[in-house]
Amino acid sequence: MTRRIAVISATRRLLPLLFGLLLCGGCLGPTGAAYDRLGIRVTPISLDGDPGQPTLLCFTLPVLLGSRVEEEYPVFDSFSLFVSATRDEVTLTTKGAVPRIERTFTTSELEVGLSDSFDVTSSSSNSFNVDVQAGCF
Amino acid sequence: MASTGVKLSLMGSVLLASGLSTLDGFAAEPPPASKGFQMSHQMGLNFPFGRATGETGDGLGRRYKWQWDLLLIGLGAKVTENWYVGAYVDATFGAKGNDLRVRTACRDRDSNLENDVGCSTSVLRAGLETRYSFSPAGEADYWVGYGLGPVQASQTIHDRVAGRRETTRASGWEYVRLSTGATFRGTQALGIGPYALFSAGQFRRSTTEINDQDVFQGQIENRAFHFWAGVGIRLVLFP
Repeated sequence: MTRRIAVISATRRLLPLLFGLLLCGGCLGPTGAAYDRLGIRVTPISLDGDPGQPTLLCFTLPVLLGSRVEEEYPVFDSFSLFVSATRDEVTLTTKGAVPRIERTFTTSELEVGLSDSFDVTSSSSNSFNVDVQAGCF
Repeated sequence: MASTGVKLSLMGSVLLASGLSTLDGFAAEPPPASKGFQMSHQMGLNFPFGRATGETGDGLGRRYKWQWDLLLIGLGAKVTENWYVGAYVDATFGAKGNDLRVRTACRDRDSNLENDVGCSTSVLRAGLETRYSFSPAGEADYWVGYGLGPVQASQTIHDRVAGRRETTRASGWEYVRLSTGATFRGTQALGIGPYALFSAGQFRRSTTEINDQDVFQGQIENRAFHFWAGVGIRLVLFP
């Protein structure tokens, strides 16, 4: 008798959970893998101080052990940004501009959130502000 | 339809008769030692050991889980009764390794009963090998072998939701591929038996593809030795 009461009690406790599971069986949409991303915004700086139209880049870090991704993003004339990443860190290097900037961010920094900013001048004397953050802009 | 059935049953009878005659042969004296063309097909399991590269935490088992060896084909000839020389091709397939971050990324976290993130690994090999048979005319022929050749191991994560497929290939050489086993020579045409193999190699190059576009190709600077150990069953044509 006591055992029967215990079973009924347990069933009653589990019912809301089962009901919730049934309701939610198909309610969650498809979810892919989670990625670490580096957002880069390059804004031209004009002589009168007005910011021009920014160029937005979003770089996804690789996932697999041993993967490496290298990509070069042309920005203006000979000015480009070179991004090299493993799944543990990403390095951003400026090319064709002064000063030569090289910044490395670890995945841990990306996961807690980071932001960085620097100015460069291309070989054709155009100035740019580069903003970097964890996640896409 | 009936005619087809009759033909099939006739074919079955012929095959059964030939099988029985083969069994007759099995019961008799073992066939003489063979020379000339020989082919083998091996199936088994391979287990990873050692390191993929010298980088911290880059163990082979973290990249690749144990592999199904489904297509290990050897083609060659017995140049003497004891010595075999030939080539092999090998394709193995398996799941992701035990790296926690990859396993987490590969985990399907929703309840829509569809696998949104697929992960797999494979290893391709080819090379030359030689084998020495200790009792080529015996019913049970014990043998040892040595081979070497290039190897390429791949890992893939395919995120169907994001439409992103990442593949990383590590390629190099297996300098040592030692094997041993026994072939039970039931007939002159077919033998079967267990085998075990051990290989040691090094990855020298790495490539990464994202959505089938090469995003990196380069040498592995910090190299290390990796090892595979395997066991399985080997079928031999003209043992």
